[in-house]
Amino acid sequence: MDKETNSEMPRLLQRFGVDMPPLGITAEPTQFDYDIGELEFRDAMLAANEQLIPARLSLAVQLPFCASLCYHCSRLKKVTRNARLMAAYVDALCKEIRSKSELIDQDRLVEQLWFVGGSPAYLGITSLGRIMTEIGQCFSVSGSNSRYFMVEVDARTATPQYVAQLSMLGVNAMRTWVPAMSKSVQASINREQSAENLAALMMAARRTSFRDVTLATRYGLPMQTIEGLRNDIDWLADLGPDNIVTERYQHRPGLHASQRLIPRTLLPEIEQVDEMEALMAERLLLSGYEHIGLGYFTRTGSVMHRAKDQGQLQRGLMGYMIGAGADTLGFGAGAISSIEDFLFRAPEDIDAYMRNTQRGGLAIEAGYCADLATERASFIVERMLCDGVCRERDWSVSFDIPFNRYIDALGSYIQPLFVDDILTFDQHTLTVTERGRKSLGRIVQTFEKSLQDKALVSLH
Amino acid sequence: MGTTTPILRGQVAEARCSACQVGQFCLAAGSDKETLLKLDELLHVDSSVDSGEHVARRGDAFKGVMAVRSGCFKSYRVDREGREQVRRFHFPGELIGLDAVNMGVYQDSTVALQKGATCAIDYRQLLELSSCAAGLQQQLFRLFSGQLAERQLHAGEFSAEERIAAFIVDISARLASRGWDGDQFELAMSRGDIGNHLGLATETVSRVFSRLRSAGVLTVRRKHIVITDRASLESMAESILTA
Repeated sequence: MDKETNSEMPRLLQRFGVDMPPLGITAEPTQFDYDIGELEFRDAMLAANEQLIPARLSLAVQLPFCASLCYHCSRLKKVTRNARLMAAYVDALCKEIRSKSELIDQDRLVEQLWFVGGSPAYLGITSLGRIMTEIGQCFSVSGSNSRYFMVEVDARTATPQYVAQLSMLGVNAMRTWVPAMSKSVQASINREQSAENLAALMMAARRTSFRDVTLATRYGLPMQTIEGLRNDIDWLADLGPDNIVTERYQHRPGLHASQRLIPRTLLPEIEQVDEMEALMAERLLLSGYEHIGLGYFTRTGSVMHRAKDQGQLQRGLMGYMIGAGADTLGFGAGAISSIEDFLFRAPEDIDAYMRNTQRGGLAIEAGYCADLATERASFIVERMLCDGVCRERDWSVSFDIPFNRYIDALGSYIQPLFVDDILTFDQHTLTVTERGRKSLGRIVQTFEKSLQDKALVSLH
Repeated sequence: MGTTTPILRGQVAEARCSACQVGQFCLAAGSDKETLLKLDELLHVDSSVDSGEHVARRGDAFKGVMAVRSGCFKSYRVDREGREQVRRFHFPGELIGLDAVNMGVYQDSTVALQKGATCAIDYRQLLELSSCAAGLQQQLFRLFSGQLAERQLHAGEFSAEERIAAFIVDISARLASRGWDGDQFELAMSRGDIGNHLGLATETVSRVFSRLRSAGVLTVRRKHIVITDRASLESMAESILTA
């Protein structure tokens, strides 16, 4: 059976090479409109600034360079050893940071910062420091302990000393990819990494009091076996990170050229992958992790766990992030900014991106504006994925139409979710059931379908 | 929602005191028909004002008082160090320029915070008229003393929460007394202006609004607020408003 079409993950969840929706319900790449550009970006920033209670601010910096190619990778990246190119890219980033910061009111604190790859570590600590300094000069950066500054750390090359240096830059969270520990799987995706170094990095993160450490793993990889996966997941849980993110590998060689280096015959059967998914959940729950949703597991008392309890989770670039309702400014090639009801995308081509910022541009290539129907659906999906509940009073702050009228109007779309005990609704509160928590994808699909059919566009 | 001005119960404000809906709460309140018709003669209707446009500048010769017909205006001064000091906000039915009455020049600069309109009235002629019209005289006195009371909002040792609560209660009362909806309205001024006016840091303004929202006292959507728990809000504002 074709693993691509048979995937249970809705199309929506596969966007931008991440297996979860990066920013709530967002635009398909094809929905981005090249007529939406800098002018709209400036307007959206102005409107966001004018709010009485401005949304929190998070920044995401894309560093797309890698030393070698991991075959399974679905991200935007460039494998290069060209130091001059990377230095020029950092220059461009600093310019872009400066230009965009001029549009943000200075009383808006940056509470979250994400450095994502490629491999951010590949640029070296000096470049990272330079970008951090630029951000510190251009934005009001939160000095509070509650801030969340995260760097993706490559466990193949990073040293404990590097982790300590990150901490000195103000970074207090890290995320590390551990697709698989089995040597045969590592060889088949061209990503060798040692258990010893990962353990040493974890120790270093603990010594420097990182607030949040996330290990991200994959299942459904070539050569992966149930037995191997069990060993991996138990070992990861024993390392005791705050979060373990499990992502299903999506084989889409048509979309991601590097995946063509993985022979289809090496991939496990879909039934096996489903079994892997169930096994991982079982092992992690036994180890004291709680499932937030969509393969994201967290420990009781972790930053994410507390945020969930306080209704402060939001869908973000890397699955979940803290701070419901935040505006996100993206920097770098292919970066996405999410301001008010708009999404903006930078040119994915690195040269095009650098030309734009060198000219003093804002690196906005295209944009997307959610219509009312999408806004409403996104709102509910966001609450379903993050809190598992959407209350009438939350809804009525943002929308004029009564909550129960909207749910009624979803009629035949949402009915199956009630019948299958995935959602319950008592006229005021829509709640995800225990069973529904394992089928969040179906909830997303339901709302996505209603949008595709334009079912509720004329509902007022 | 998303209206830029509160919704007037009744007709649109007309450019004659005798027919103006705002007028019955503004200068013309309590005046007899004869005085109203005389007021009409004194009235000079300015064209509408765009957001960011000044209707008075500090130091300019006093031309006359202006009544706000629609929109929201901010009066401010700039001190020697170049720091702006927001003195007061003017809503429909309120007068601009009373600060110039004594000195003959405007003490404050006044700028429109959104699209709006004003009426101008020659002040000397207004005084002459009021000397023989008791209703108008009383109303003028009320308007003057109203502005004096307003100043106490940002004086004294009060917490940020008390200041903001008093600020909202005050605006709500001023709008309600002129026939607008006092329970929901738009705050056209920026967080910075509110903070400046109340002597608070801009971050504090959004933090307090956010606390009031979490406590269920207000709902806030963009710049539009709805008072959902008036009793709590008024009790927070009490110490200032009764000071």
